[in-house]
Amino acid sequence: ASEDEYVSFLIERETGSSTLGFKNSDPLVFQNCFTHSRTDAINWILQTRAALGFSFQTAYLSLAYFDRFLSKCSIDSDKSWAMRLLSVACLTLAAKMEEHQVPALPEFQSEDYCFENKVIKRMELLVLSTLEWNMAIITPLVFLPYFITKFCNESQTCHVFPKAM
Amino acid sequence: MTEIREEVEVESNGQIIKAVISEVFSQRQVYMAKEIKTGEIVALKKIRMDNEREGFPITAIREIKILKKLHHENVIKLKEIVTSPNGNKYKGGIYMVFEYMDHDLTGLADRPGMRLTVPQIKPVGVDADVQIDDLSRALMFSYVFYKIMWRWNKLMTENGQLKSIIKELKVPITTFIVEPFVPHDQEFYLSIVSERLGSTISFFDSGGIDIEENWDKVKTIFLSEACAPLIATLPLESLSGSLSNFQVYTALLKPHERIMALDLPHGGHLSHGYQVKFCF
Repeated sequence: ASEDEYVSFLIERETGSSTLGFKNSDPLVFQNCFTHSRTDAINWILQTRAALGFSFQTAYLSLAYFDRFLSKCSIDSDKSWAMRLLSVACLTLAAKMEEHQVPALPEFQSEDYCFENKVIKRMELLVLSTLEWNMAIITPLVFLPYFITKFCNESQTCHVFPKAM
Repeated sequence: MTEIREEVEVESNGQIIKAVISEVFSQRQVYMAKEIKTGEIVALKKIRMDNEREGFPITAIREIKILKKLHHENVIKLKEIVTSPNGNKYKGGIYMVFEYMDHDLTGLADRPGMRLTVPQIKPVGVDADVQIDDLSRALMFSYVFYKIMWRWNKLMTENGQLKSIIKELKVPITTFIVEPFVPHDQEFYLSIVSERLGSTISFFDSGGIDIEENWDKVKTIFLSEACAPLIATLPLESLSGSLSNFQVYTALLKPHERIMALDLPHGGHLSHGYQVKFCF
């Protein structure tokens, strides 16, 4: 019973408008150029996730921050450095929310761009205040364990779970 | 006695608020502040950002994460987070705005001859009809029980029904500052252990301060004479920080939620565990 309660609690939090974080007035539709830079951002986040050994939950969360930020603030998509800076800030913030060990900012650098620590910090602050400090976003990944245990019997659970994650 | 140390301006929802800082608590950069327009007294806690290599500090992120999760009348409210607009908006100070609380326990413990008066002691406000499980949960929410937790479990198991005891005792609780990552020495902890958590953790396991040995100090600090006799009849046992933290966090968790550990250099504690999933 407590499992079911927990899932209904998650759903409640997920659908609660206060935690949703998107600007409600217009639907989030990215234009073509944005789709492109968003794909870049996803690639970078996933690569960095793998390199730093973060969980997929962290990657997902950082992308959620990324989208939410862009739904409220616009960045000129020509400025690929700005997009990258946003990706970096979203990933460091998500890592701080989720990861056990979070590397120092210089570890998040990639070959093509190099940001100063204080620049990243300012971007983090901009993201934090733009998202109104609502950083605990419910992601689909948190529902997984519940449904896996629903679909499989006990003995299989431990095999399926790592694969699904 | 109050002395004005500093005046800060902070920005809240686009509006500039002037706050007078009149008292500085400990080294933690927590200030009492008065919002000039409304006259509301709040506590401002400055988020320290000394470590450039870290960016926005992980300790603050985790603290905000926990505090935003807690909604209980006995847990201090994180009202909002404000920035001070001095110079560049994202260069200035960041403050967490809390409800103002009169006391913090460490401060009280260090003040000789400190006594709480009856009006300072606020009743629990627990509905006597709630289930035992909810009740212990509600009690655990209370920060005072985080710091001084009366050992209810014996009463619970011996008497079966906690609610009658609660009704009789009208247990006094005062409000104190919530600090999720407090230093653990020199603080008094008693345990409250719900049936859900079991009651096997003892004072000696955890290396806490013996409340009975320190009873005079504890008594004078925390209890007014009116309620001392009632409390004194309870079997008392203290718990050190690690286990009290653990219990409180556990009580606040929903099944499957994780306790997120900070690593030790960041101020984490061994007891906070890592990626532990609780499924009751």
